[in-house]
Amino acid sequence: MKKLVASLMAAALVVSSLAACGNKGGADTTTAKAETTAAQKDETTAAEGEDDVLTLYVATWESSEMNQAIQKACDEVFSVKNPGIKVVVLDASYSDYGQSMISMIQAGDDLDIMQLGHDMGRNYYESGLVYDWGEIAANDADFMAGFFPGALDGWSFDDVVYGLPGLANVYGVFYNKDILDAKGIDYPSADWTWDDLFAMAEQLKDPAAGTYGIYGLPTDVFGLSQISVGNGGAKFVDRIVNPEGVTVDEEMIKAAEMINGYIADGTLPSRTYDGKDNQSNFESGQTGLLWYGQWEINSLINNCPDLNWGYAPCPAGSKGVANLYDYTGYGANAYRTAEHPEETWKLLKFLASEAYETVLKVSPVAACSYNEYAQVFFDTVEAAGHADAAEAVRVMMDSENKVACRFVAAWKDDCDKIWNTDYNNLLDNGGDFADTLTKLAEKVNAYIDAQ
Amino acid sequence: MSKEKSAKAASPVKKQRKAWWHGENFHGYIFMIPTLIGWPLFCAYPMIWSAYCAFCDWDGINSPKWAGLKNFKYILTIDPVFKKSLLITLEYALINVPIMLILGLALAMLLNKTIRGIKIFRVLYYLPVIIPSVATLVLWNFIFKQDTGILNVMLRSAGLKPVGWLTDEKIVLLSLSIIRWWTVGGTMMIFLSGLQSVPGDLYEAADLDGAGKWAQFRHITIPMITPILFLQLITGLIGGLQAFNEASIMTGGGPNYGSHFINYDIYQTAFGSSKYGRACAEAWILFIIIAILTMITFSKSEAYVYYENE
Amino acid sequence: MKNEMRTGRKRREITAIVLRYVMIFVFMLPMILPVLWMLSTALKDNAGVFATPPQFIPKVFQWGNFKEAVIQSKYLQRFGNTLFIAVLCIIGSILSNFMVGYALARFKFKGRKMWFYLIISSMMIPGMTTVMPVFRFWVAVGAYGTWLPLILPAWLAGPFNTFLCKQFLSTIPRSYDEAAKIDGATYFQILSRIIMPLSKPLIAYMAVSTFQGSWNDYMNPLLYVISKQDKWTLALGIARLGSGTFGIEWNVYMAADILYFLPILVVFFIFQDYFMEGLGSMTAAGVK
Repeated sequence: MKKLVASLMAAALVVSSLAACGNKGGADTTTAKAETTAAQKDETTAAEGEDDVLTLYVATWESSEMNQAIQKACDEVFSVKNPGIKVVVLDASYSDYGQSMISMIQAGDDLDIMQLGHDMGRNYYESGLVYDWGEIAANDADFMAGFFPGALDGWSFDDVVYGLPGLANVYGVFYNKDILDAKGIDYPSADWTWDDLFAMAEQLKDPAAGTYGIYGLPTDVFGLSQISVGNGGAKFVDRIVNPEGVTVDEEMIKAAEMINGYIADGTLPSRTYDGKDNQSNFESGQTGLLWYGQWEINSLINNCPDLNWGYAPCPAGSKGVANLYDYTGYGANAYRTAEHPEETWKLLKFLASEAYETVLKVSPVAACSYNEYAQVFFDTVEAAGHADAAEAVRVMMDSENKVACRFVAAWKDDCDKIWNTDYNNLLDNGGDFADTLTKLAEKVNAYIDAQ
Repeated sequence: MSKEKSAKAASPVKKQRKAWWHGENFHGYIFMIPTLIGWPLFCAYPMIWSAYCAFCDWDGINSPKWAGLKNFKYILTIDPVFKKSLLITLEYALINVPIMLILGLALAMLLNKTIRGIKIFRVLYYLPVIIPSVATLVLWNFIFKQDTGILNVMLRSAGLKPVGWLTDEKIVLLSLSIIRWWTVGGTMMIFLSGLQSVPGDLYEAADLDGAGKWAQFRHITIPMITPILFLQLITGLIGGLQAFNEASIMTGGGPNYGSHFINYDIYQTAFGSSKYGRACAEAWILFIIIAILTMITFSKSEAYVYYENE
Repeated sequence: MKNEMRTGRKRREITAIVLRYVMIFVFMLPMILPVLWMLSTALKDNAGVFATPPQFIPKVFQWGNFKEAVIQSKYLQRFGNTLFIAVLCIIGSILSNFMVGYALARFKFKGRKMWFYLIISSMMIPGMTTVMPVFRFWVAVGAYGTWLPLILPAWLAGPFNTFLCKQFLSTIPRSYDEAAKIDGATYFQILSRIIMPLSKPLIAYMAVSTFQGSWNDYMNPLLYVISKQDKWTLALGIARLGSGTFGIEWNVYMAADILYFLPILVVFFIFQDYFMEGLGSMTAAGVK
């Protein structure tokens, strides 16, 4: 018995230490994709010593198809133009992407460039995780001028450039043509107004059946600012990254009262409504109006060939349109980039611009923020038979007035805590709008100043 | 036995002169090696490190910077959500622990007869406990959905108003509690084993004396299982105060922070806002709360717990 | 007169039993209905998942969902991974906990009480307090991206199981030990040849619960092996299914969840009797 136990322990220890060494390229049973990645890794790390090939690793949260398309673009275009650089595109999990990236960077894993949201990029920069391209970008002004107006606003502040914008997320209204026809409602036009939208929603709602007029409309303070800025009011935050304060004015108060009215009569769902199924409900043909991002176009084209749908841009207020700013992009691992900034900059530029020529043909999720290559997205969507959707996206991209969609600063979560509860109660249950909103703004400003 | 006696008589002094590596002390420590390695590594070191970080600003990436009482000041005075978190965490734990104990005991008594098929029933009651909590919470999320969840659909078809299970601030704790009650099978099993360890002759004696079922329950069953009751109370309390999965997987902190448990807030502060120093401070505050409540329970226990062997 | 009493009592007994069965059924329904609902959803086609009125028995039995779940979550490979980790954890847990439990129950060494209280109090520590420092430790040691952080803690005597071992071993009469000592056995032999065979229920219980703990663990794999897809465990693979940018396929997700907990169910069924006996070790008695 003793021998058995002892040999079991020894065996277990040996096995577990083998497992520990397993990640250093040992014989793993892997799936095909992981195999090619591992094989490529082995090849390139072997090659690195021999003929000076630099391998850069890229992480995104996109789907496997998109990752493969990016890999293809890198292999067939970038590495051909830059023979000394090989690119490997990794596949990470979406549900905890942020944490994975931080863990990988800290652990010294192979990671050079990663996809980021603009607020993530700011946070990472503050912690020293991503590289500041300020100087290099200033010397590459020609390239930088090629972005859409306002695209860089969320990726830079003062002289710091902590990443490059890649894809633009714009938010408009999807509509189900059959449902609108049944109720005799006209389709939204490219220059429709907020009044038009709410009028349609009023006709579509059915409180008895628990159906709302429009789903997904952002009724948080940033969504409100779209309405209030469209009506000529002041922006809620004075700039996108690291704003200095918030402003609440007459238009904002009016917008809040209006939304409260619509929540009360069942046109809009309450602030605590869980909208996770909005998209699937629209795709299965149950919803008339859905406010959602343009990436849904891709999903609709691929998954819902029978659905009769259209897409309209964000409606205008009395003084114009205000679109939400939400550009995702890429940043670079500060720890590793310092060793080879020039090569990483080349790849970064490529990913933010030219790569999309290949990628968006395969997976037209969004228009890229680089003017020259954005047409690919529009062409792909038009070719799929939805010229109106392409037009709607183009209109929104070209729009000059962009407002923040969330706080992008170190104090974001603390100010969310200050703001959210009272604000949600106000919109759901009513109250003294002017008083509550102004007091909240004062609290937030006081907190920002104290930092 | 006689061998020992004669050995003792023959050499009375020999016994004291055992080599030190035969002694109980040495062997004790040899066998304790796993804990001797594990406890400092996974318990002492993290506690000390996080206690230090509680007084620092730390983004988890660079080195911590000393900041004095700043974190505690924020949590206890400035944070608009902490008081609510505290209330919610205490409410959730202090209400559910007694309910689980009572329900678990009642069900254990129900299933305590060797009637046909009882084994299958016991397993079925235990089923919700076996299912990984990730899967359970996804399932209940699906059931509690406001528009298309099966519960609201049934309510609506019966003509009643649908309930905002996870979207109404005042109801969300109830919904989460229901999920906890669903997993009462675990508590039930432990009580079952406790019930069956009560010696049968006590009941027989009580029968002979003419005691009724209820009197037997009050004076035999309950006192005999107080050790188990106590154990369940302590573990239930410690576990309940650390509720996390529900907030993380289902509600995201709940409508208007209605299910924003302290443990969840710690996680958000650390991995969401990257303020590890503040998260460590909050974790220590939670630890102190748990310790206080546990000590209160322990001290009260002398009065009502009956130990057979000690 | 006697006959009347006997049939009266019999009738009362029968009604008591019937009542008991009824109550058991009534309380059992809410236990298994959600699981049945999960199974039903797993079998539906996309249209049936949210159909109104809801289909309790799916109109279409789409068994292909299970196949789809296996493919999408890369089930087979991750099953192997998770099994490997779980088995190692079980071995480690049993060995280390018995060692420490034996020491605490048997040996009178200096500091024994102190260590016992230290172990108990470490059960009270909120997990969050230890996560970050432990993570930094593993990274510093070079174990990030391996399974070592998932396996090694089991080899270092987790407090709850140690407590259980100590309680259980305290009830084994010392006379066994002493008899063996007279025959010249070393402490190690006493542990392995006498104590452990007597503790089969406890071993079974610890094996099952360690298996459960390791199988269900989500946070630790998330921290340590998230970046290497071929090292993922089932928990990560299943969670991935529920977090797509393009909406969740609930039927496939439910099918995957069912496949996820099926192995534990099987293990539990097999070891059920031992498991119940082992639970009884908390009160130093058995379970019938």
